[in-house]
Amino acid sequence: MSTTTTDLQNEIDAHATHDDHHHGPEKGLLRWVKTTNHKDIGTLYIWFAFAMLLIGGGMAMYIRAELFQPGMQFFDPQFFNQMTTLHGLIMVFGAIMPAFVGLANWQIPLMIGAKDMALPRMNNWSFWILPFAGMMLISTLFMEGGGPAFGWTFYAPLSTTFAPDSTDFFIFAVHMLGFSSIMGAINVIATIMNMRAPDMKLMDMPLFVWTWFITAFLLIAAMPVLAGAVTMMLTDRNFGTSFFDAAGGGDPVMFQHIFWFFGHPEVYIMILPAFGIVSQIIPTFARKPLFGYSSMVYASASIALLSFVVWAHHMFLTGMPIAGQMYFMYATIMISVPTGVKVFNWVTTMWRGSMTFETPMLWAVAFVILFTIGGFSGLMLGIAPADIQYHDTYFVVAHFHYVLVTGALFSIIAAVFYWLPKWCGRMYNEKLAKIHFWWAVISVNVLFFPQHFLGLAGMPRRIPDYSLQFADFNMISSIGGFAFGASFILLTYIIVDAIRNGEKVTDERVWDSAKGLEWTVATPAPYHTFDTPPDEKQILAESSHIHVEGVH
Amino acid sequence: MPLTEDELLAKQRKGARITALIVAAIAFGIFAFTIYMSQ
Repeated sequence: MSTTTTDLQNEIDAHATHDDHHHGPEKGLLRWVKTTNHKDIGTLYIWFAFAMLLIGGGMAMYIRAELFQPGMQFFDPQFFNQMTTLHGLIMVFGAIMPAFVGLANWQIPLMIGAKDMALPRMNNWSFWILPFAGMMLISTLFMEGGGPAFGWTFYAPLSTTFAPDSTDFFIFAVHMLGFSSIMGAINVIATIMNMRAPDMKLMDMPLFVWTWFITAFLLIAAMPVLAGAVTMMLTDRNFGTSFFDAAGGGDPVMFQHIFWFFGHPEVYIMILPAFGIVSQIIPTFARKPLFGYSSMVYASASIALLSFVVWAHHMFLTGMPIAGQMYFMYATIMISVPTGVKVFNWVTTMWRGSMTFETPMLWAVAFVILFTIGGFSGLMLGIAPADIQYHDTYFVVAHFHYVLVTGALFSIIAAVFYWLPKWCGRMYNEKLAKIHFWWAVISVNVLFFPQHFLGLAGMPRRIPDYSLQFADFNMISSIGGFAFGASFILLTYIIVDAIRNGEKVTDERVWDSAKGLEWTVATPAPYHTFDTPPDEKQILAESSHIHVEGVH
Repeated sequence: MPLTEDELLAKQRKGARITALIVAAIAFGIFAFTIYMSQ
């Protein structure tokens, strides 16, 4: 062997040794600070989201305690408004969105046969911005003049001319949260477009990956608009501009247009990944391929596109011309078509399936039923003349909590129960998890369903006191709220108990009929996966939506 | 000829960087356009 060949062989051997001997996670706390591993970052996101869910949920308990009976009970109205504002902001930007990004971090590389996310260092940065932004947002409560009290929609001039000094910190926090979301979305797009296993075509991708791909584009288009809105708020407040100040030639209604141009796609940012999760879980427990895979993809894309042309249905009472009201009404109602396609596809997937009802499936079925209720009340709100009656009442509160709690949050809980055994190699306590499910699903309906009646009877939202005729339904709603809040103590116990003491799971395919590349790696998922990308045969065999003759 | 694992990874990372730059530029463009149109 010549010298050159020997050198080359040595180099190849050294390289092979390097590849075979991956270093595991670093020890100690620094592992979590410095990590660029998608699984570590996914875990960080999910725990952060859970912590914020508990904080935001605590604020909801304050709100329901105050509304338990008429009259002022515990807080002054200003503090009540701070609670409703921060509850909304924390749940949207601190809990639901980071939880979905955490699930994306864990699952997308595993589902497309990639080693990691495309931009791992940026991934670390995306996460570590969040705790500082979250702390800054919460710290406004302790500042002179109190925290923001203008609602999560921060309409001008409430948030500009009449807002407390802490609003500047709120603006900075929103900038940071938006920056984190945009970096996360860039990473998801770059990963899905470039890091897929070479034989995986776009229409081979699991629905969760597809819905996240579309969501990432929504984030890229919507979050910079929010950043623009808060930047203009900042300059209006501190640098003498008049974007939203009528006295200086600006227009406060323009704020609402800009906000809702971001705000309505934001709703779909929080629900499209939920559609993806449910589309993964239902075929597994119905033991059938997903019905209408391609129509699911096109429906998701249609919903995303339509979400940008319906924003002013939030503004029917701003004095819009009739033609504008008609357009936004019909465009809004049109969204029910692709959404209906999805609901029918889930039901048809279950139809004549060999169904079993393990905990993830229970949550997924509850999602389909309860999210549909939220969808229907959304249709009612989309009807311009009817919205004149419903606008700013508890009907709206009931609607968006059915969409975001029994929709988005339920899907996140379903996903955690579904993938937790793969993540940590331990099974949760099925009996306790089912008790928790029924506890939560009954209490959440006791909490939110009566709010429809309160709204129809005319009870306005964002008020700490109310007329006597609203007393009974408010008391029922508060009792449901406390019960739903308490259910999270049991959920915390179930998850922590599963991670620490759960029965060990070693089967790669935790659920017997689960399909997908994530179920081909060892359980628990090793620190590094897919050093060698899966081949075409494996990709097709693991597809949850394509039957391949002779391949299983 | 199929790519080796290293070649594949290098190709994927290069593509990812270009994608990220384009998407980031689009995001910044939307931010700037929002403020420009609000004047």
